[in-house]
Amino acid sequence: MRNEKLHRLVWISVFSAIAFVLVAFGRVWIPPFEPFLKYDFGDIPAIIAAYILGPVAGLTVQTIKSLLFLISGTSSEGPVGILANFFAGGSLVVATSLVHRMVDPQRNKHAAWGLISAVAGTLVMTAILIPLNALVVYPLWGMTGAAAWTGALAISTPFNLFKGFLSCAISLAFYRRLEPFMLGRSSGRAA
Amino acid sequence: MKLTAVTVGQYFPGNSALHRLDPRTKIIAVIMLSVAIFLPKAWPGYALMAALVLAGVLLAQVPIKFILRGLKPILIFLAITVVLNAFLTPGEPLFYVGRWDVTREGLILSATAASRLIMLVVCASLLTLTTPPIRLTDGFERLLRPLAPIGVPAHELALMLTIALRFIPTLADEADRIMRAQAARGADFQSGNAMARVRALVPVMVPLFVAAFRRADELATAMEARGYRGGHGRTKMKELAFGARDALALLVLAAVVAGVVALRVTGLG
Repeated sequence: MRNEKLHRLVWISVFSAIAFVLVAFGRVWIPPFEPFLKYDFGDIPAIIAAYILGPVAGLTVQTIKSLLFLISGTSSEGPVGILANFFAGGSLVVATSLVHRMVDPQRNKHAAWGLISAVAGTLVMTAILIPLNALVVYPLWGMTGAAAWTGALAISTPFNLFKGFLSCAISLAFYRRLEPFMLGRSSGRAA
Repeated sequence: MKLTAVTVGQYFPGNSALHRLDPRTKIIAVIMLSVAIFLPKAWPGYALMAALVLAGVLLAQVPIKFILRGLKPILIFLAITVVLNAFLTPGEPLFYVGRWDVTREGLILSATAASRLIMLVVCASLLTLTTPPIRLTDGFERLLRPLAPIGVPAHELALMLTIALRFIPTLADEADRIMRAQAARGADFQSGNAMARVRALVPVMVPLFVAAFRRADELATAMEARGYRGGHGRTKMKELAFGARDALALLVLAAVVAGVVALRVTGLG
């Protein structure tokens, strides 16, 4: 009998390692946004992990990824950047996978349901991030009060919408191509 | 970008006083300092904190350029913070830039925000420069262990971190190989606009994930075959040792933080 708990643990670790590598090998600045808001692929393994192993696994991948950046000291934006990234990534993963479970409880993985959950998840994440950014992240960067709310609404919100949706869309496209390789551990049974 | 250059961590090998401290001591110290940095209200408090951080930098015996390198990425945030605060804070105008006035209060706010940010980043850098990631993982595990009865999976978190650290160089190599294989077949990762480059990376990720799935299953099976049963009763090759120098370091730190708190309470700093 396979020790499913151990397999699940190792899978989460490997997903976190992929997330770390993907962030390390490319952060793309997409021009209309501020240069300190760069797109990275780090959320994709977490979203895929959440599809395969459930929302808790997705959130764990985000946690481990953040801890990896913290203990390796290789994040480009220091501890505050890691915190901001964890808030963003964590809420995106949990919101997307919960919405996906709600609209598609049979796990038919109909592409349309996937897109709906991506949009809904992105919206939920953006909504959660506005107060978090204004009250926690921007003040840590040294902006408080009106400046922080302006920054959170005008600078971060459009970027979050863009980033969340792009990550979800790429993850969905991936998930369909990865399924044949899952060795029987598709979402019907959380490994 | 050359992926094999991805090394995990920025540890700078050495044998300084900071290097020799127990990782637990250093983690507690950084947490205490991160809170203390936000306590001072006026310059004496900041001076005390700055002196402490500077002492840490000197004790670490790490070339200063490694510490400055950690500050480079936050320069843009520093610039934004300083400019926004200097111009947008109402108060007594000092001078004008065009039709914008720079206030005394704004300059003070800029300086405090900037010095907090710098101290925060330097503290975090000192931790990762003087401690290898795997020692930090050990430290986290030990610090979280008392929380295990209330459901904090200390051992599991540490195990996942260790496995991930072990896999990062392997996966980076793998990604590098896949990219070169695809470049040899005409894939283009360097040119085009940002979206084109994002799209070019998608076909790299599918084989990367597939390879990682295989490795994960192999590792889990190997661990099972060797009788892994979780953290209970596990022994370690390198035990952490909390010694007299750790107690001394924490005492000095507590004294300075108490000083900062006292300055704040008495309204002096």
